[in-house]
Amino acid sequence: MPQSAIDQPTVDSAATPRIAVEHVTQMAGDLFTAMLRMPFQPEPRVGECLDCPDIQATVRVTGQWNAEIHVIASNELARRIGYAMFGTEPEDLSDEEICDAMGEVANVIGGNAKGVVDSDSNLSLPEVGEPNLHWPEHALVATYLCDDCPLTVVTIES
Amino acid sequence: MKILIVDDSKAMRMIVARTLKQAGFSGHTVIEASNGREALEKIANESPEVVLSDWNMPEMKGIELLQKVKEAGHKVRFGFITSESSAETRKLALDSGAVFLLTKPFSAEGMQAILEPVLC
Repeated sequence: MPQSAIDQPTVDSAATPRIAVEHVTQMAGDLFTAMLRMPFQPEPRVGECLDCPDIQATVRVTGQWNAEIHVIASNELARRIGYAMFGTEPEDLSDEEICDAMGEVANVIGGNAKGVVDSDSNLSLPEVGEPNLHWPEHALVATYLCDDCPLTVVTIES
Repeated sequence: MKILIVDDSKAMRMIVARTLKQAGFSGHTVIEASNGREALEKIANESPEVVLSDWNMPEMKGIELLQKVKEAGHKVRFGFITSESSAETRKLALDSGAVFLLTKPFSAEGMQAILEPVLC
């Protein structure tokens, strides 16, 4: 599991939001159902984060459009995502493989969000670490049930 | 046909390889590279007919890899499998010589539709 917390979000000013919860639901739903073939309930609890998060994957978009996208999960769900990606039994996955899997979730959602906005921006490589649950008020926080485990996606635009 | 999958994520390389089989392309030989430098070596030494490359990778981005492949004169058919789905990305890819761009997340059906003209 990750040893270091991800840096405090640097984006703290509100801007006209380009990403709505419906976008996040579509992007996450497509990822989990079409590609990973995992059960996913597309009815988010907006404004709520899961209670006991263990792991967070983050990508940043910089340029004409600036945003951070955080994907937050429990160890249990992270292992299930790893199983869906690697085909390795959850208990046999290495920490590196779990971080790789979570990073790809953030990468896909972040890349898709960049596509929704369609601006001249750059997508960072994913960072994976311990959750940092301090967000600005305008952050879009949506929690879903994925394979019966909560998964939170936080989108912070500036 | 030999297919080279280039992605810094081992998880994504496995998903692409597995989805190729699910999409009906199981008769091909799949080789992998985890970065652009390794990909260039494998293109030179193992002569794949098709490259399926990520866009956003450390050290050498997928578009730089494509440009180096073209500069070296390799005739390999090159396409991207990427979460970057903007019109700008797609235009840059196709203008640089990519023959397709498949957006993540993808299904076996979506991959089949995009790759059938390339692999069959």
